[in-house]
Amino acid sequence: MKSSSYSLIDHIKLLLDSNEWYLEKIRTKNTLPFQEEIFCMAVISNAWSALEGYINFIASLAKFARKLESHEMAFLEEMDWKLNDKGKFEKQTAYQSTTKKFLFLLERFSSVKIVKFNKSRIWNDMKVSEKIRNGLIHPKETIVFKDFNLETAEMTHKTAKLAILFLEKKVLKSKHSSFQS
Amino acid sequence: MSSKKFIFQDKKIKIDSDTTKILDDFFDTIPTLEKELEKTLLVLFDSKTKVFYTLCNIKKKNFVGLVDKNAVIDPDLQEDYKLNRDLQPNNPDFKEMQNDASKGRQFTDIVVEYNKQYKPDRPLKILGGQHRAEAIEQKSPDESVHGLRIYFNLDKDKRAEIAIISNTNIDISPDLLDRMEEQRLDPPNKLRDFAYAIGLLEKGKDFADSRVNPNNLPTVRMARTFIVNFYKGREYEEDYDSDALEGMICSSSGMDSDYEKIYKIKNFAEDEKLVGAGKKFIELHKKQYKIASNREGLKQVKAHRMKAMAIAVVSAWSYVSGLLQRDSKRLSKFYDLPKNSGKNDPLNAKAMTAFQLKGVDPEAYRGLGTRTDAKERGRLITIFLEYSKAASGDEINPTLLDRAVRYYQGNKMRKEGDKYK
Repeated sequence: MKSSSYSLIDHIKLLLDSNEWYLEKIRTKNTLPFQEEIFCMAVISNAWSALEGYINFIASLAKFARKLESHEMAFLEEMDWKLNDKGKFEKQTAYQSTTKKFLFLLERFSSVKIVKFNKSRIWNDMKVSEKIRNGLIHPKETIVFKDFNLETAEMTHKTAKLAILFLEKKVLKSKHSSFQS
Repeated sequence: MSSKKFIFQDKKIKIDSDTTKILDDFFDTIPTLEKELEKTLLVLFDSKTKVFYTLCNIKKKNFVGLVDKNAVIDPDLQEDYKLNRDLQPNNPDFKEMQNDASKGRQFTDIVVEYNKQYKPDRPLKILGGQHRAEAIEQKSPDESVHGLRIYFNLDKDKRAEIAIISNTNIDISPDLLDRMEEQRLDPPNKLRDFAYAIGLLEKGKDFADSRVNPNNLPTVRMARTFIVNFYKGREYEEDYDSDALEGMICSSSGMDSDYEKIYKIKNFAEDEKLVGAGKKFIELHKKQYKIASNREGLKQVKAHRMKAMAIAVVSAWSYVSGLLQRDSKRLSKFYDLPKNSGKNDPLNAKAMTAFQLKGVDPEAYRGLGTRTDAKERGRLITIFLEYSKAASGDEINPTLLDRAVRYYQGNKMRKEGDKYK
């Protein structure tokens, strides 16, 4: 409904817009010492959040489709059927990776051929971006800080935005975009 | 000038020597049918523009080498700027013209200036009727004869005036063309009789000649759309709740092929189920109109009163009434929407107008039932189907609208994927 409430789409727009702001600051060297790296980390984190949010938005619509297999519905609800200690199957939360969810939505709800898509530049960039984002969100002793620079931040932001626009075009088949003025 | 060549409309009108020379040259040079038959041409005088002209005919084989479709208003100073708009080769009317020409259609009243001031080898300058001229050139048989109105000795101002008057048409509403085309059908009156039977039209009244009319009369297109969708819905055999059905809107400006097929085999006013659906629809419209005409917050907007008559709503409502013919319980609930909605407007026009699915609808979206595209019709079909379920409550409310639109969107997405599995 039209309302003043803050929607998931608004949130995604905010994440993408704030990235533009961060990137502009870095590009124009309008930053304090240490800020550049922090801003890059923010961009990477925001970009991936935006993509994940949009995937969840599409999934929230897909869940309304009839005639889906039970495993497809479970996947969309981030659940899985597991045997419990009473010997019965029950639904349990099962988080899926963003790229897996992305592939599933494309494969099940669009005309995109996944075999072909897997060879595309955007898919390659998504895998690279996911690795960088995971290094940021799940830091390990071997974390490579050189990943958080303007180049990787720009690439991750651009990739997330392209992936969102790709889903919007291929799954929603929108003639207009909510993310491009 | 020989008196055998021309006679004038009125001997009192004086003709200048320049025009006389041009007229003579025209007669001597242009192989008109009149010349071939040794008939005298009548020269007329337009008192408004003060120009001489004649009406004559010419064979296609003689016309093609002499015609100039790139006439200009000002050959002295603006020879490069042509008068006519660009040819529209894909315009459906032009395609029909070509088709007619190939079958021997003889076109008339092509407006031409006889002028050798520029491109003298092509002195028949087209001022009005370039598409007809093109169709003749491309498709007419060589011996076919076409009518020309030839003007002589025009200056820039006169030429512009003639060109403007030759290209001015009062727009004919597509709804009027539909109505005219409806009257052509045989046996006659099927649609009008149906409209009388359900109360869409008062006895003796006819369909509107334009969608926007002061008495809110329905159009032929609206009634055709109702009928076609009812039958399409009734013929659908799959599980309608799992599909993303979209119905259709009859084409306008003449005849709709789906409607014409149904017209040939159905007698609308005698189909009990169709008439029943029609009467229920009128009940819905009357209740919507009445409530929305009197209630604060609704009465200010005409679209709220006429919500049921919005063509996308008509299409979806009749489609669903056709679909539900095989489920009497759901059909009954669907038909009872006007009753069940109590004191409220049955279609909940305000909630429909306020609806927007963020991330899917553009910012400029003005709510449900305002557009006519397939997505809009599909959403409305799903809303009515959802409403017809016993569990959905008695009224159309924002929750139902949101749920139904998501069902439509989800099913639409799944169907797209199914196609490529």
